[in-house]
Amino acid sequence: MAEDTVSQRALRLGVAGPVGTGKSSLIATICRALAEELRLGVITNDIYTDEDARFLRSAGVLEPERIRAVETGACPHTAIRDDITANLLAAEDLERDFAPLDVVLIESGGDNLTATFSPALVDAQIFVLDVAGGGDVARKGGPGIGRADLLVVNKTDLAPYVGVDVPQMVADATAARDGRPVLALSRTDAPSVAALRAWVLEVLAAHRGGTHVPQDPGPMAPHFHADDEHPDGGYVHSHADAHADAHSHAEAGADH
Amino acid sequence: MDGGTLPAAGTVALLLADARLPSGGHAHSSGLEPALQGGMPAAQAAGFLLARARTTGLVDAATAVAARAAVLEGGPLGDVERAWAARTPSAAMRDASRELGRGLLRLAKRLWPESAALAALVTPPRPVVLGAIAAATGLPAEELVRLSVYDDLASAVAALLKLEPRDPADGALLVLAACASIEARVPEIAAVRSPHQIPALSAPQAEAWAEQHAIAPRRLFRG
Repeated sequence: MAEDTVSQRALRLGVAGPVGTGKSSLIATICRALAEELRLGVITNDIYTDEDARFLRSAGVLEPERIRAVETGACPHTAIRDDITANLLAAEDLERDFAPLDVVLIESGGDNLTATFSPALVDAQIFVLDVAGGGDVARKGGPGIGRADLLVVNKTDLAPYVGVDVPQMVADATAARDGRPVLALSRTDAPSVAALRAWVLEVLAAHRGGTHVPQDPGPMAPHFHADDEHPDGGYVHSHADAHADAHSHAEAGADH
Repeated sequence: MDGGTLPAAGTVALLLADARLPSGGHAHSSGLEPALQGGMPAAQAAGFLLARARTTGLVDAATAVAARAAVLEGGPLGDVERAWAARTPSAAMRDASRELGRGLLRLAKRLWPESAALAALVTPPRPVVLGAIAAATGLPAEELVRLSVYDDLASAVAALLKLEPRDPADGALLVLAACASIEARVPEIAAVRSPHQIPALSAPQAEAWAEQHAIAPRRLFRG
């Protein structure tokens, strides 16, 4: 970050993940768990106008004025990664209008597995998957799954209905993340919400203490290449090993 | 900029006209989505661009030129902004332009921190920021006119390709044709020196579409 007063301002916490995995709901859960003790603001990035902002305002978890919408011109991944201008302006506005804020939650527009936030926009980011998307999604990897600060496996209460083995999905995700945290979450499961709350407070403390360094999950995480000739049926391949995080991967940009 | 070598004004113009410029412009359609939502057939996009170029396009370009002159000659930019607002009757269009202006200003303050005119701006419309940048970088008035019109029309066509996809080469042809259509007026617009010389060229149908679009529940672009 350019500012040397970085730990003085609010923690900017991104929430990314594919469409329908429960990003808005996760933000509502964080607001319910922490609005009493922290001064919060929310920015949503929508593909169509301000639908997510309206959902959150109607959820009644925060004063409506503290929830702002950024419209992304059909490019939600651009707005959080390569041209973050509108989101930076919105974050600065919110932090000025409600100073001092403790945390600004920034929700990405529901997009795809490769979209993650620029570390110039958020200090930390949560990537959200859900059990209904299928138990194998975590195994497929991607920058958000592999290297977001926290991976949430959401809607665990639905697992019996969609035939997903939650412990297995969490184990797959953990294996893909080199020990970074994975949280199996349901908004109806109080201990999991408490764990989410504790994680946010821990990151906030690290941000304030100056010990948290924003990380770019990168354009592509280590991933599995299927190979029938290989004795294990394929091999795990990490671009980070050879080329560091700046390496770009043709597949990562293929959607745009 | 630091160092002893400054970029050529022509290079600055290329940078500002580049769709990859990080200033938030990708969320805007220069009135194209409002027109389509308002019922204009996509087949009339060429006509829309010609009309946009000779109305909003020239008002903005002349505003940019007047802003450049005000900065170079020490006149107040507030008068330029008021003259632009008086010639941009749609509040939705003014809001969209100020949003573009803010994004551009954020970038410009980083690129040209020595510009007192840029530093003093708060919520300027896009053409006022372009004019202040032109003054800071030595961009000539005629190039500023072309830049202002081109950038506006290219945004419309980029949005058109998302909303009503076609061969993108057709889009490039549309942009060039609409830019060429105002070429004969470039010297006259570039000669603007004071705010009262900015032409009042309104586009009532496009303004009405912009107002409807601003309150539409489903849209992809800001304006």
